[in-house]
Amino acid sequence: MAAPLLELDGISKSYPGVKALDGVSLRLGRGEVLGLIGENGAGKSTLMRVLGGVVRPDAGRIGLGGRDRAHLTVAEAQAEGVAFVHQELSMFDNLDAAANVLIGRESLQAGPLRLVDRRACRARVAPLLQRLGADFGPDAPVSRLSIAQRQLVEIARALSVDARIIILDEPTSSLTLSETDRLLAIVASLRNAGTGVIYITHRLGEVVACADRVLCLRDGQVAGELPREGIEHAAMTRLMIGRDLQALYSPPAAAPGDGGLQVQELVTSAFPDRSASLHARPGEILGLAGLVGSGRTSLARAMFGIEPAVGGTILLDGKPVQIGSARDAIARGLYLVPEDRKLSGLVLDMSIAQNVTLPALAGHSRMGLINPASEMRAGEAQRAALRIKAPHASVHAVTLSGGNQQKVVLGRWLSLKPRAIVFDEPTRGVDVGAKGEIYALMRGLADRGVAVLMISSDMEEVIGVSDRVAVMHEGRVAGILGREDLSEASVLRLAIGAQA
Amino acid sequence: MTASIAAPTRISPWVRLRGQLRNLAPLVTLVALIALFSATSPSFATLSNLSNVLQQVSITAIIAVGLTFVILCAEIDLSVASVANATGILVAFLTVQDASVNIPNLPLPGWLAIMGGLAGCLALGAVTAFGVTRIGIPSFIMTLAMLQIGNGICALLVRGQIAYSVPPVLLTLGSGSIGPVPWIVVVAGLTLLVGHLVLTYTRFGRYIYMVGGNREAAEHSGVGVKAVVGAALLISALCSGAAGMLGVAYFGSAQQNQFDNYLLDAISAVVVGGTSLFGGQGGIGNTIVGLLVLGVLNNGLDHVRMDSFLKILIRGLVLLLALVVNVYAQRLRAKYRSAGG
Repeated sequence: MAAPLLELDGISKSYPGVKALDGVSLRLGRGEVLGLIGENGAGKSTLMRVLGGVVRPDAGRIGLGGRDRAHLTVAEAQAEGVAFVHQELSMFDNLDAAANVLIGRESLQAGPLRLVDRRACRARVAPLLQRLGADFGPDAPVSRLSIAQRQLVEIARALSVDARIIILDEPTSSLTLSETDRLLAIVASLRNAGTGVIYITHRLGEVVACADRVLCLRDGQVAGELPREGIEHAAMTRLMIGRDLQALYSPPAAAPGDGGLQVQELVTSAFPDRSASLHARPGEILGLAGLVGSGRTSLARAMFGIEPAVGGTILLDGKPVQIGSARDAIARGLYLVPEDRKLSGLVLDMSIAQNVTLPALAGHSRMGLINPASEMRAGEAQRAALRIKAPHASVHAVTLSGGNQQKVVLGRWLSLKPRAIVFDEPTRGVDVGAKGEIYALMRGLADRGVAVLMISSDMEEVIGVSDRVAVMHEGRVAGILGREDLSEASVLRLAIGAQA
Repeated sequence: MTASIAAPTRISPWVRLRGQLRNLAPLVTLVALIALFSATSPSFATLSNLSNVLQQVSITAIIAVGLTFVILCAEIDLSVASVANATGILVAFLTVQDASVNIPNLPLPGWLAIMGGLAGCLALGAVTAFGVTRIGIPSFIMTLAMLQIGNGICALLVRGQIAYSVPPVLLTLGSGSIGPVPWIVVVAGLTLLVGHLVLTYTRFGRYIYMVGGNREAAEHSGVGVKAVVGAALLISALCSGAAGMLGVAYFGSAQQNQFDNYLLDAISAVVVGGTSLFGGQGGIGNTIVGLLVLGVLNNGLDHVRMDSFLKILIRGLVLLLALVVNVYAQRLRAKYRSAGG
């Protein structure tokens, strides 16, 4: 066998408290499509950042372009023909397609001013777009292109630098089915032209369709590798999760009651011409699935009063409530555990106790003066109840791991009287052990009669934890699935807007 | 499941010390300056000179207390000196002036004049707070406009004249003394103390730090972020107004542009003291150290007979250095964070 394009050997990378990568090895040959799969937080993105020269590994060897190195710089990675097509596209909206493809490498006119030669730029880009079967020209303004079309621009960029290795990171997360098919055809043609492709995705069907080999990561280690003939759903799921999906599920203690959190024809500013309705009953966990950008977070923010709704009604325990600010929501027992806890959840420079008592400070103060002892007692109580791994509640939130930070945000609401709690991506960036604890806490809340709404992009989580799942597509609830109808396929079908 | 249990991270004393750079650097600077001037000038380290230094920073101190609230919220108030000036002039405008002062003024009893001054500065602060929190004008620009408005009010009220009389209470507080201690130092000390107590022990103080530390998290916790920012701007205007009224008594006159240096001095004091320009870090303790650094520097340079024209440049360089430390401290803080998890 010819020398591989890329050989990673024993790559390790630790962050304080977490081993992100632990001796990961990977090989990619010419004209090979390697499927890279694994749960969120398994180490896929860290591994790719090592390959892009952004993260410096603690140990291991990178064999690329016939040379062995301990680490790469961004410039070296580019020089060796490593190109990324990112999940969240980074483009200059104000420029045309050709300018985006050739950014930094524009054709220049002769003469002392060395002005950009737009015509030459377009002439260079046109054949690349043609090769990808693009239905737009090099002069198309990027601001008018769809996400699928923008992706083609990014791939054209990779082709224009003669990339030998193209890494597609969740390329289809925002694509429709037919767009996905076209992308898979492009991947096949790249392979036939001898390019090595690393295809990262959650969608196992795409891996079956296009990959020559599959590598699965779990908890920072290689969980296993499947050859072409061994690529099938069950085997991949087993590698990814290492356990049965249904085993995650713990059934509710009692049948759901009436009331809870009800949203009727709610219109958010993200989708002003669509409305969404759903009902999370007390005692149940309602999952809210959907693609990124389908309007789930906008819905949560509207319910919680961060971006008040444009129209529609919110009912708590059957009574309509006006929610114009987070304060209103909190006063009524409707809480949000936000998506980005560092951005919207915690004040990192404050202690666990101070973060826990944040919305309830009035209860720990008299005449405006804070009672530090009462505050510390509340912090200690939550630290113990949630098993937050810290020696004391006076420890700053900065020093905690992701899972423990999430518990602090949770503890804030548990010390109050919740009637409904919305969790937005509750376990993103949380390690596996803490995930289980957070699921148990959610179930515990439901069993106490709280209506729990869980927004999640993690399919395992949605299927494994929810009693029912509402699936959003472009601002509206496309369907609601009961426990017996739950499967990866049924959720995805609704999420991408396919007709049932 | 080795990855799941995050070991309690050990943070070396060195990293911890560097995390405290914000607080340590100004203190070290202060001690070094005092040592330097004491060694080079026999007249510096005397009790009467200490009284001088304190007296010289008192008005700045009162302004800086309000400014500390604003900067802790990650906002800025550039109108402090202008509001002080306008308030001082307003009080003089409301007081009987000598016949030689040709201002069409509106004499009132002393206490009413003072109430008028306070109402005036609060009104200016309310306009600023409205512009920043309701309309959404960045505080940098909003207070720049207020700076000009304040100057305009000054110009209109005194019309190029100088007024000399203020109510007797202000005269005592501004230029009198109890025993050896000037009243103005006592007032400044009390203002600093109250500012410190509010920031450290009250709910409102906690909200100030939260809004500066993570505005979005504060909003998610139901804190009325706009109300907190607005209140900080009001407090700043109130402190400026008080400083302005006392300043007029301290200087013995009320005229245009007499507070111009105080804008830079007050901001310098807060920043040199180590309160973060990005909000959420620092406090009155820092501001006190910053005030003393500036006061000692100003006073000490005179004692060593520094060229008074060079002095201006030196003050600029000290401010630049403080800004470097401020930004650098923020970066170290970020590093300390990532080391911590």
